[in-house]
Amino acid sequence: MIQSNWGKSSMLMVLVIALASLMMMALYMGQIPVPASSVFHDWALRLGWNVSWGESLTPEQNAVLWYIRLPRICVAILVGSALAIAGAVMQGVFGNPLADPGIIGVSAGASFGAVIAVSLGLTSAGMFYMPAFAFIGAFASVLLTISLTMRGGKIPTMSLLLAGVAVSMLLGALTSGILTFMNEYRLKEFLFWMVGGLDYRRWEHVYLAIAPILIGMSVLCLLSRHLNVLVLGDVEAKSLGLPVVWYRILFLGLASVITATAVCVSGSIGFVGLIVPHIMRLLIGPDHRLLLPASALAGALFLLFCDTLGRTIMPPTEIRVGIMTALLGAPYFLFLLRRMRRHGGAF
Amino acid sequence: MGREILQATDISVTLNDTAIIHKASLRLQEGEFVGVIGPNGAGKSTLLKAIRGIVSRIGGDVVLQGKPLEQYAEKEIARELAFMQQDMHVGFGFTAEEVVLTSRYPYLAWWENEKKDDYRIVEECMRFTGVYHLRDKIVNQLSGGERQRVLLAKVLAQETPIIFLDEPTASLDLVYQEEIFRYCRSLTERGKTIVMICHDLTMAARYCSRLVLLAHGTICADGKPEEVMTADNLANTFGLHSIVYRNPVSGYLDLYTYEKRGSVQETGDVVGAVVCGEGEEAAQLLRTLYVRGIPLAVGPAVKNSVAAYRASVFGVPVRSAEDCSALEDTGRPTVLFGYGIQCETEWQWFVRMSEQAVRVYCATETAARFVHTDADKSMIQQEKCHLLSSEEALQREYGAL
Repeated sequence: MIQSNWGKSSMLMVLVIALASLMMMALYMGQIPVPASSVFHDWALRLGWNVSWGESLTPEQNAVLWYIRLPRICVAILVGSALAIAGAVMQGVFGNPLADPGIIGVSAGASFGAVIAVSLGLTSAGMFYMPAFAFIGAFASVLLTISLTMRGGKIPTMSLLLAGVAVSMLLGALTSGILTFMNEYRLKEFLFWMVGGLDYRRWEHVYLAIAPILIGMSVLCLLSRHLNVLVLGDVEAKSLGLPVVWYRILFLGLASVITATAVCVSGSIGFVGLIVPHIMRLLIGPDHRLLLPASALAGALFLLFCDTLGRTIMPPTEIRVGIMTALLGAPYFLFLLRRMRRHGGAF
Repeated sequence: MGREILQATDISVTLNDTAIIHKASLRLQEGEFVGVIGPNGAGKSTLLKAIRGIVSRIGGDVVLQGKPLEQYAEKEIARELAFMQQDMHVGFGFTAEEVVLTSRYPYLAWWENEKKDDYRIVEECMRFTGVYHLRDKIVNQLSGGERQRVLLAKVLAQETPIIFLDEPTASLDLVYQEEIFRYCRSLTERGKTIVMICHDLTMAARYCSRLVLLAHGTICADGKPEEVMTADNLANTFGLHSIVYRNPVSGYLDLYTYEKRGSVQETGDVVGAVVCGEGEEAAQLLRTLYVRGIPLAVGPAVKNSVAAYRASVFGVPVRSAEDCSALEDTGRPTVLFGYGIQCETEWQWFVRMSEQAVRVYCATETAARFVHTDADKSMIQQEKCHLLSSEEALQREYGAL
């Protein structure tokens, strides 16, 4: 773990620089070759600098760059940071390092909403129906979970976790039930969404997701000191004068909103919310004031990396990003678990 | 004693329809160090949590600094009253300093971060409890004593006039236990008011200025340690047979606890006993007989001697060397035990007493040492006189003890 404040803030800087470089690389890597020099040339021109080196972009390259790759990169960054920061918040609220946004029913609710949209055939009517349904489903299932658990102005964490599992299972069963009545074309469409991918994401997806995710993340970062107190448990937080229920609902709500937004533009992508906060906690410690921004940056970095790798590793086939995160994440997570057991589970 | 700063009246708490606390009242004055004692499940933690408002109460009022608790904002209460919970779990590898820093929460607006002053206060408090050198260590990896001192620094850094501590000494070794008590006392000397739940009665009696005894959710006794820690109170609440006395070595209240064996008195032919002598053997005899509920007297003891003090602790009458009425003290046929007799005066008393005794037991060495005259010899040779070790004497007189 990095101890000094200087080390911690330089860690954030490293993440920012890494993300920026990865963005550049992701821009010119892919099936249609766009030379790096052209990318820089184009950037420079747009910034109003007159440069002589490098070739200018062909119209095809221009389209690939501006209408295919850049929106996709932006969606990857938004979704990655949203999932990671939501994961960090959930783990803090539950005081459990294995919690992730899926645990209180966000993913199951989103899938349920999506399957309804698909089965009603709304997906062909407009590209926003599915995300909207997914969002409503996710939010409704979180509300259901919280209201099932709330008793006399208290939300016991353990009951919340159990209720989340129960609601997820119920919605999962309903989703599967609806799937059995679907025709093959719609089934495929739903499965496509389920796996989670970033292909064919357009600027519209960015516009859709950017406001809720950015606002949600900023508020979470602004309130992160309260999370430090909340993590210490109900009694401790209460005796320090923190309105426990109000903040718990606020944090859960914000984390759910940004997760739901992320899920509805990208489908469900696993392991980002679980692993990224975990690694960041090992690197810079549990103080949420640093952990939340660091998780957001690292989540964006991780998802963009997975997506870029997935679409360049074996052209012309693309490996969907949900598969890549699980392939990279699961072994690493198992490694962490083994290591944790060896150290007597210090976390 | 200073002014009254907290009045909790008729606090009642129920949990799942079971009354945990029933009409308990507690008033705190500035600078008091109150120890809350009582058996497990008496509701000690619940009472403190109910007063603080962490556990909701079904009845009762709490008035803090002259204003009802309900009229305070959450953070305002946290600036008046700090609560250190029992067995706090600090997850996620937070460092000691980070944990102590959270105590500044009630002083910060929601958007603010800790300022220089907050760091200074945290440093001062951590230095006070001697854990500043551990500030970058992960709390979960500290030893029990270090952890409790970090958490104590945390409640101190909350800078409240009143501090509630829920068993801060649990699972600590003697050194750390005493350290926590000492820190608390020096804090109360600086004007803080501390209420602390603890299980070590003698330690509580020694350090606290006041004890509150709680059992079955009601307050059974409240007052100075010597008023609260009495054999009767302990028997009624803990079901503990004990003798409370002032330890002549330390000068503090001390406890002698014992298991009450089935009383021998009920078996009928039991007689009282008079123990004559000083030494450890006499003491052992006295304890054994006392625990079995046998009526006792002791003699001949000089005032302020160890034997006399011991007898007074056990509440046993003591007769001087000139006074030969010891046998009447027990109020029934009496057996005389002569063990640990040190001098000629004691021996003479023993011989004189033996005339009225039903049976006489004496240590062989004592007899060998003091039997000189014919009168001594004829006494020893009587049929009722037995030269035996104290264990054998007890065995013979009372059966298996």
